[in-house]
Amino acid sequence: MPNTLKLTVSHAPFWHNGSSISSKSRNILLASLLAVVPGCYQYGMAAVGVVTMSIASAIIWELLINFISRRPISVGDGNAALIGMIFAMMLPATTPWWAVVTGTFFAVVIAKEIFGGIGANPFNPAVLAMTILMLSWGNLFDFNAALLNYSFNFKAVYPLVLSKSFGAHAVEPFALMDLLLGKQIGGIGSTCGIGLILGGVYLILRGFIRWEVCFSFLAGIIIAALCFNILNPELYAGPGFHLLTGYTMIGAFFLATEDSSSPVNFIPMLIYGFLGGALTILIRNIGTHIDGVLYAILIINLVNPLLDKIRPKAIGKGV
Amino acid sequence: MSLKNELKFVYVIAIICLVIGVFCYSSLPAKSPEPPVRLMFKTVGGNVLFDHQAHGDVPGLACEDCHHTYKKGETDVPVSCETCHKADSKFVSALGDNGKFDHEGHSDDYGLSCNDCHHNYYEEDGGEPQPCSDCHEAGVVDDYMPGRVQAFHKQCISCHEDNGAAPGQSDCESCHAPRKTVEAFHGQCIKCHEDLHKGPSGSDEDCKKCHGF
Ligand code: HEC
Ligand code: HEC
Ligand code: HEC
Ligand code: HEC
Ligand code: HEC
Ligand code: HEC
Ligand code: HEC
Ligand code: HEC
Repeated sequence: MPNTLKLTVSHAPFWHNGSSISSKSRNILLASLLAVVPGCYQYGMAAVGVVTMSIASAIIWELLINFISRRPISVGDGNAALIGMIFAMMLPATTPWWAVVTGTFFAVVIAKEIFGGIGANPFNPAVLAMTILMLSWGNLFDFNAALLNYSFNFKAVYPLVLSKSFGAHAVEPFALMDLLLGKQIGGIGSTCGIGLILGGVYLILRGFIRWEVCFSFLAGIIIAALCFNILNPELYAGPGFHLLTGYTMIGAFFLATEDSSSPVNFIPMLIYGFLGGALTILIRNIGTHIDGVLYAILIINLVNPLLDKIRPKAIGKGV
Repeated sequence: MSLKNELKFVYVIAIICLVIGVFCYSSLPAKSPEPPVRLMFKTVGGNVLFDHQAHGDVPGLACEDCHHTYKKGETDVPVSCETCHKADSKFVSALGDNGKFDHEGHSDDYGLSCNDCHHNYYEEDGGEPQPCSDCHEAGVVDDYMPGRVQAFHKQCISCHEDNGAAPGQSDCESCHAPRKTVEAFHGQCIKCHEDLHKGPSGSDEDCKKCHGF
């Protein structure tokens, strides 16, 4: 009999791409820069402050919790830094420092470490933190109010607010190309569609995130938005608009794909992503919230364990 | 990278980020530009996003059209409408039933003759003086004939100043109880839009064109 090693693990199945967590974190961080750098260019030093403060405080929170709980120092895997970065990408450039620090506390301590650290979090930490903050200090994250003092060469109104309160015709002035190039207001790293797509494609090609999740999420957006649009083109903007506004792109490539809160089997991944996209549009078009991506992702995170029950039957095992 | 180096790398990142973050936050306090770019009015009826810069860019609109107490070339920037139009006050014109102008006091008690004010009327002619606005029309100003506001301001204030009597030039509130904020905004924004046939009007279906944010 060959020299075999028996691994006893908690539950099946797992996905392993052969590289370490830290290299994965580094790569996602690098990919995110493609969207964050244009954001910092657009909003200046204020945005740099938010991003760096978020990364630093996320690492420090994890260090602190490592010390308090007397567990091995885990910040080396870069996951805390990554959470800080993703969280900052969703924030407006004017977020005050205390909100950033509170946010990373919710992300790292509440959403991740309390559930057992990396790999054990049921929800995407950055998304959970962002929703908690939005419910607590909604004013801070009203992009129209937050970015009042910036003057741009494009219409500086949060596109989703326009489509929600004024209907589809109000967003006609937004050319899809401009939206793709990030000529819209929003989160520091959420508006530059082209950067997010390039970063996402890189991560897919390197195998760090699953194309099944990204593409099915986008498909969910397109199909649901198209249905609404055909039903009432006056009221509901088309799929192109929904793809390129709000948190759609960052949601598809950076939020929904977070490992421990997303499924690992083929069919479940497709359902997971599609559900996220479709829910996003439902919330945007008929819900009360302006953007649905964050809530949609929390909901699919919640059903993720259920989805992963759909898996190939173990061969040889009697029914 | 070995585990140890990975840890060191992250520590370095954390320190660099912290330093830059603290530097950015402390050295670049978000100061609001003068004049403002956009303003958000929070109201119970839905927020209003007012694009100040876009309005300033409309050809033909001057600062004075909105900041109606602001004189061209004044060095100071215009003050906010709320300094005069307070939320809890009731609009009162200087004249009329609710106004602070006391005609009886002026004509009977202060030792003035009718002619001091009704400058083309003589008591001995009998009859009644013509209302000022018949000749001094609202909004009409030319070199010869002062407009309604100019006529009143000039006459009321110059006599007060000549007599050392209250209220003088800068004492607006003694003649005008200030108008409510909402009335001031609605009055000004909507009146101009309707005059120019541009922008949201006062009709019911247009409320949400302003109150949609
Ligand atoms: C041209 C834009 C515009 C239009 C059109 C408009 N409003 Fe307003 N409204 C404003 C502004 C500006 C304010 C002032 C906000 C403040 O008090 O600071 C305001 C304030 C208000 C308030 C006061 C809310 C509070 O918090 O006290 C109410 C109520 C209101 N508007 C109702 C309406 C209704 C009803 C209509 C339609 C008939 C309407 N508005 C049309 C711009 C507009
Ligand atoms: C279409 C009308 C309009 C025009 C034109 C306009 N403003 Fe204003 N401005 C406003 C309103 C309304 C406010 C809000 C005041 C408030 O919040 O009470 C304001 C606020 C301001 C403020 C801030 C005041 C404060 O303390 O809140 C400044 C400064 C200012 N305007 C300067 C200017 C200058 C300079 C110009 C000419 C280039 C100008 N504005 C043209 C309507 C206008
Ligand atoms: C320095 C004090 C002051 C400031 C600042 C001021 N107002 Fe006024 N406003 C007055 C006075 C006084 C009147 C006269 C009230 C009357 O007798 O009708 C008036 C009248 C008005 C009227 C009714 C008369 C008209 O011209 O149609 C409107 C509307 C108005 N203000 C809007 C505004 C708005 C909007 C702002 C800010 C952009 C503003 N005011 C700033 C003092 C002020
Ligand atoms: C301090 C200045 C002042 C003096 C003095 C004065 N008036 Fe007047 N009077 C006014 C003003 C201002 C009005 C309001 C005009 C308007 O609303 O257009 C007015 C209005 C009137 C009106 C009503 C006109 C109308 O139809 O609106 C009559 C009548 C009148 N005055 C008579 C007199 C007589 C008679 C005297 C002398 C005994 C006199 N006034 C002295 C300032 C004055
Ligand atoms: C019959 C028309 C008429 C009526 C009514 C009238 N005015 Fe005049 N007013 C004039 C004319 C015409 C002039 C310009 C004459 C001049 O410059 O000498 C004038 C000039 C003025 C001036 C500028 C005077 C100066 O010294 O520069 C003031 C102030 C004035 N009127 C206030 C009033 C007031 C206040 C009332 C009402 C109480 C009133 N007027 C009623 C026709 C009228
Ligand atoms: C010809 C001179 C003259 C003119 C014109 C005049 N006033 Fe007066 N005003 C006085 C005198 C005198 C007093 C009394 C001062 C005192 O007794 O303290 C006075 C007092 C006042 C007061 C203080 C309250 C009161 O009635 O005792 C107000 C308000 C006032 N005037 C408003 C006006 C207004 C508004 C106008 C223009 C429509 C006006 N005045 C025109 C001479 C004038
Ligand atoms: C002595 C009294 C007096 C003083 C002081 C005074 N006003 Fe007036 N004002 C009047 C009278 C009278 C009118 C014309 C009648 C009216 O209120 O509609 C008028 C009209 C106005 C109007 C036009 C209102 C409209 O309906 O078109 C404005 C704006 C205004 N005044 C602003 C001011 C400001 C700002 C100040 C302080 C710098 C000031 N006034 C001080 C007496 C006064
Ligand atoms: C002095 C005139 C004037 C005043 C006062 C004014 N506006 Fe306007 N507003 C305009 C004009 C002119 C346009 C059309 C601009 C254009 O089409 O480029 C406009 C357009 C708008 C629009 C439509 C913009 C768009 O993109 O379609 C809104 C909303 C608006 N104004 C809000 C306000 C509010 C709120 C206020 C009061 C705080 C206000 N305006 C005061 C002249 C004015």
